[in-house]
Amino acid sequence: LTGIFPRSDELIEATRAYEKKKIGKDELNEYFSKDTMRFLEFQTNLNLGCITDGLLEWQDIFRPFTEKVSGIKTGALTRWFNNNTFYRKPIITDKLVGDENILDGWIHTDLLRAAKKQWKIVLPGPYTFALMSENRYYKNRDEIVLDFARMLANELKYLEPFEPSCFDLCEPALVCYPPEKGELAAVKSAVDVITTATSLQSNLQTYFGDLSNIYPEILDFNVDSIGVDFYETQIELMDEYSFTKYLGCGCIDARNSSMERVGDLVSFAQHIFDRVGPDRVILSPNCDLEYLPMDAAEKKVEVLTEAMRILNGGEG
Amino acid sequence: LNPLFPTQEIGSLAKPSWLLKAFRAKVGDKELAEVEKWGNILRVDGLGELLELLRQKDLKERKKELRDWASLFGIRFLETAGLDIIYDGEMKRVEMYEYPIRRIRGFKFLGLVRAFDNKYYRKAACVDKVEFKEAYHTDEFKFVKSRANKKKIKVPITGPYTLADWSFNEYYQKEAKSERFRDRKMEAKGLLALDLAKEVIGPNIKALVAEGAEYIQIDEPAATTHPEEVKFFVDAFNEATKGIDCKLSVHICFSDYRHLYPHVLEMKKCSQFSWEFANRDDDRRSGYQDLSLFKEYGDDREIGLGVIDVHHDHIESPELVRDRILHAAKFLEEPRRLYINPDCGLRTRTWPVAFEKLKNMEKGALLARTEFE
Repeated sequence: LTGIFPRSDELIEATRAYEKKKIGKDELNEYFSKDTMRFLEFQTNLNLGCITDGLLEWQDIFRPFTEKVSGIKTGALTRWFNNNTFYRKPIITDKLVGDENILDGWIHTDLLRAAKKQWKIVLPGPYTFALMSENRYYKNRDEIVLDFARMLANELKYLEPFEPSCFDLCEPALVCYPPEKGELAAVKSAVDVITTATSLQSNLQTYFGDLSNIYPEILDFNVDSIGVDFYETQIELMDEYSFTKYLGCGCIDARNSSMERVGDLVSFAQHIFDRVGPDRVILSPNCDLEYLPMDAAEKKVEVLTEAMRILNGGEG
Repeated sequence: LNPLFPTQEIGSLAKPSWLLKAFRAKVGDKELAEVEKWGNILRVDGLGELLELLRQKDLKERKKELRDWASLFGIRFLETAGLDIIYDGEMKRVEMYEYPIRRIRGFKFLGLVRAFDNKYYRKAACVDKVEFKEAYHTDEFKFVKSRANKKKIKVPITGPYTLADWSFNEYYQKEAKSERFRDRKMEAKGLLALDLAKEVIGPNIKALVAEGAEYIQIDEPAATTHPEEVKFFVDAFNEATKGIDCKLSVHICFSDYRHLYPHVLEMKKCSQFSWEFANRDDDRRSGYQDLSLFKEYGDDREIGLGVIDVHHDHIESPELVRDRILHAAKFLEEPRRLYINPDCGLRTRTWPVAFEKLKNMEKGALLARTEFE
């Protein structure tokens, strides 16, 4: 799974109570921990290969950075791509300096380690951050992309002792508003800055858009795997070039309540296996599941794991 | 003739705590004190009757009466703040999406989904062909009309495209014929929006006009969510307003307004666009730069100018409101095209904050009027 997972009704109610000052911060944190533990258990029970903490505290993918980095101010509510969901636009007012352990307190490293499973860090990608921010400091976007990447590299170094196994860079903008040719080198360098800073497996997660907008150039990025939204991308794209990375196959639609059928997923995955090779494919939702109510999101994950079980010869 | 820079409300207010408490449990002294406080500020008649009602034990059976009282408070709130064009703060609607969807056949609610920050809305899936069940705003409008001291009333109604975009779309996706998933999803959205316009929103608008509504605002905050679908929003508006004879405005907020053009030039019956601007404003008035679209495309309709940020408690000063209005008036060179309103509904603000914001909006409009005239 990637990105932000939906909160339970109980947690939503708790955040409302907190905002109305009916409960305190400690009590609210208990609700967050409880929901996170429940989510970790849910993933563990389904035997997912790599788990996340669901980023339940993150009100949008940039939020730890807008709240904690001194060179970033919180800006206006702004639409998040083509969703009925809004984020606080980061306003860059000073040089981005990443020596603050920004994600301290934003990732449940203790609960993740206690789950004794492989776990994943989810981060906003530098290009999407630069594109979706307002720049009041840098001369050009390339500088933002690179400085933000350095900041992420520092964060990964800080988090590595907590023993994660991999990380996602969420980069919807790469496929929705692809960089122009002159910008591409800086974006690639930025990703390189991040991935060479750590020994963790890296995944460049694209979504909301068609991978063909940056294909085959994306194959040159220094990452181990690329996540593809197959509700926006035609499978035939995989025929055009040899797909040299691991493929995060976004085959569950996290923006649609219609429940996928296990048989359809199995059949689709087999088409992908034919093109990429079964050992190089990881089945996943096409984006964050937070666009669905929690019950629907969980059902979709169950369908996904059932498809995985069948594809693995019934072994989960 | 309207005064220069008429002020208008644009959406919902927060529900008073006494109303929410009355639906859930017993109303306490704190809520009764709130009724007295606001009842006196707003000079609501018959306050004793409401206090007596709220002291009774089982209020679950008295919801209609309670909602009428809340509506009356909403009317007086906007009147007392000084607005020229009012409604009731949508006191009888749980929310702009959920309220209509519950009154349309073909939808099923699935659960809560985030809109922003810690704010969530209950999202439904369209699981069958949509059908008209009832005219869901006429009773509410009749009540406002009967109790308002001011004559100018604007009825807000959620538009067909937004209802379609904010819903999961299971039924029409099965009906759509396009081969590629992405195209089928888009085709399905167009089909749902058009059916909602024809079967539900159009009949609702007709029913309101039949009851005497003269000014209706169609809320379409989703209009630009998918730039490639703006034509669906336009087609749905035109379908819903076929044969309608009243003043019609469209409210859009937190959007990239550039995507609207040139498509919206086909919305001949829409005499006003009211947009959010204050949310994105700064000392340079850069929040108002999209006013240039009206000039660029020769769009000469009225503009509902958002001058109050609805997501912060900071109370804009009358001078700031004045400056925003004057900036827009000078830029457009046609001050009579401007109506003044908050960016959006003030439902996320407390009543004291919302009240101060609206009073300063009124004062700012007066300052601008004085300066201009």
